Amino acid sequence: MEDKRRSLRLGLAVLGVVTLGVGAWMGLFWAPPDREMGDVYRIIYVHVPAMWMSLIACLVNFIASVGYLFKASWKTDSLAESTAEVGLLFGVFGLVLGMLWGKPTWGVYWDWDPRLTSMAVMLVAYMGYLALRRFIEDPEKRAVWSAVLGIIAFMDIPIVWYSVRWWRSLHQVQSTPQTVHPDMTLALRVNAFAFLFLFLAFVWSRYRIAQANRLEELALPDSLPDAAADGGLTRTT
Amino acid sequence: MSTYLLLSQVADAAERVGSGRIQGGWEFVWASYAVAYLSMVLYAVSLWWRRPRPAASRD
Repeated sequence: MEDKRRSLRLGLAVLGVVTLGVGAWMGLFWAPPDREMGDVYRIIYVHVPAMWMSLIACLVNFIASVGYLFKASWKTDSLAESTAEVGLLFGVFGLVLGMLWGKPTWGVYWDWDPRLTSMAVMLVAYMGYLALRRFIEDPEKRAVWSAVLGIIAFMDIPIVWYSVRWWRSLHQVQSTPQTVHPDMTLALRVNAFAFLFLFLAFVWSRYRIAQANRLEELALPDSLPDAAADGGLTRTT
Repeated sequence: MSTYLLLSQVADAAERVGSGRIQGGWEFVWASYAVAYLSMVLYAVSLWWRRPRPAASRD
């Protein structure tokens, strides 16, 4: 069973890398240049999928956090931990890509614009989330407190998404397939799927690490005797 | 003379429309792709480094 899962994880990663190769070719060479931004707009094919993955990760983190508070389980806690870390990865480098795009189009790498600021707040919140998990040694307290923080941090996500519509922003509003060239839409979709496959492979791998850490913690004499007694990862409290 | 000048300006503008108003900037594009791919490669390495191992092989 474990061998099958490992093959599936590896297959997902390989599929992601192959799709990413195709996506890179489409984004860099195949898709036409933009009427306004010329070739610089090609950053969209890595920037936008990275941000989408970051937001998906935050959404899954929120669902897992709520799920944990309703029915405590090490599985939802591990899922929340893994999505926070992977989401932070995609969010941080996605923001860096946005800055690299901002310089040639806006003239500056950074501006305290509503979209950029709300995104920065989101990343700081999830850094805090991961820092909190490091600080608390008791696995049960850590799971509860981080679930609460995960729910609070998620409150920023709608602000990130709608900031370009609610306020005057340097950042453009979300494009739709009706407003861009079909070749651009296709290239963006291929890259988005590539990022999605890699995102799933990352979350799955990170989830395994989190689960192994929980098992190790539960094996320690001071931690959660009730949970350790039933073999580890299923909590009933 | 001015007609030729005007025509050449129109031709220049028409050429630029096909490739965008902002010219160049490929260094930002390459830098972005490098940052994105390098971040994912480094994270994949970190996951491999932290992978769960049997207790015997960890010591």
